[in-house]
Amino acid sequence: MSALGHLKIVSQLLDLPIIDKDERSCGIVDDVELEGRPGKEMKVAALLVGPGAYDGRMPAWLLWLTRQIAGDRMARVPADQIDEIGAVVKLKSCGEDLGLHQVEDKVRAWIPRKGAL
Amino acid sequence: MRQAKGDGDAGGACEVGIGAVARSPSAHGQRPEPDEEQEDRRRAQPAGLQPGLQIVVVDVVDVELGDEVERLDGPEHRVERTDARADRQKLVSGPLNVGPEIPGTSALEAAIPFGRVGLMLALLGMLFAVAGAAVETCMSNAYAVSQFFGWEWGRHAKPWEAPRFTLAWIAVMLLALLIVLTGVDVMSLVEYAVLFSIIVLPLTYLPLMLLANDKSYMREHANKWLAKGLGWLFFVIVTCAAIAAIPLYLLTSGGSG
Repeated sequence: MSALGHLKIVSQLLDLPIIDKDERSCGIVDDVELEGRPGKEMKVAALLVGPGAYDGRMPAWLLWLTRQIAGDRMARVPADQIDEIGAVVKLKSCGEDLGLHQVEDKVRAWIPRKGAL
Repeated sequence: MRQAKGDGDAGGACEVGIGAVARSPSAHGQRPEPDEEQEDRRRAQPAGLQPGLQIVVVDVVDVELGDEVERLDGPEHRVERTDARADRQKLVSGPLNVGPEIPGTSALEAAIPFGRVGLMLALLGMLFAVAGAAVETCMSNAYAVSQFFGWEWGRHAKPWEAPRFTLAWIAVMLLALLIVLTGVDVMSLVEYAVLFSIIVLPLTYLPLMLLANDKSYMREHANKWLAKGLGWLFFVIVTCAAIAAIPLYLLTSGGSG
């Protein structure tokens, strides 16, 4: 499926896993940013990733709880960085360049780099 | 009085002493005289039984309701009584809180024919089985969480390559440990878990079935009419099971009748 073709946003884009060009998981599509006007052509301007994009997708109390635990960070992936949309969203660039691996990198610092099989 | 099995040879051969005294108050009246009690203990003491290390296993076969079982577990002759009303064939054992309601007790079965080696092998087997199941369950939960949030995950990834996945399975293991340490009845917990897994079954089954039926995703692999029909039939069945699960659980007192 082309990245720029017609698609159903809810069933074919929201919540899809995002994979960067190095085949690393970068989260899921939590929300999308659209550009256009009612009655005109609408385009996906960017993918929004992170707890900051949960607004409107869950009850207020759950959103509050999520924000307390995970914060409200949000990464924005411009549409021109999308390589392909299929079972996953493939990106043209690295996740680090788009701010998609911040939490992963922070948590990685806690894991000792020894002892693995 | 009934003497339990293995009163002599078995205890000496494999260091698992087996001996018991089962006494019927109706047959003997009240508690026996001290001399008679000492004689009972002497006969119940298996040959070769050493203090402290052996497990005393009592197999009460034909104890009448209301009988009492005395357990002798060492030269100090500490006596405990177990009411045999609950179970006609009851295993009463050892100085270390070994009982039939504890799954590990089944390892003693291997000790009877094979002695200490059999017991160790059985315990090792149980350790690996339980540890393997624990690891698998923790991983399974971490897989679900990681895939839901789109984190790096995978058993073959080194811990620092999939750090949130690693933290997730460690967190699940610690949470499970905390639950067990509360002293909750694990078997009841398992029953509740199975019950709720049935309740959510239609909710997990339906998306997968719809996906398998969707030609835009599955293309030539999408379900055909027969698979679709069977899929919806099974969906009706699991939905009925989900609806009936809680009423059945309550009506049958958790399946115990």
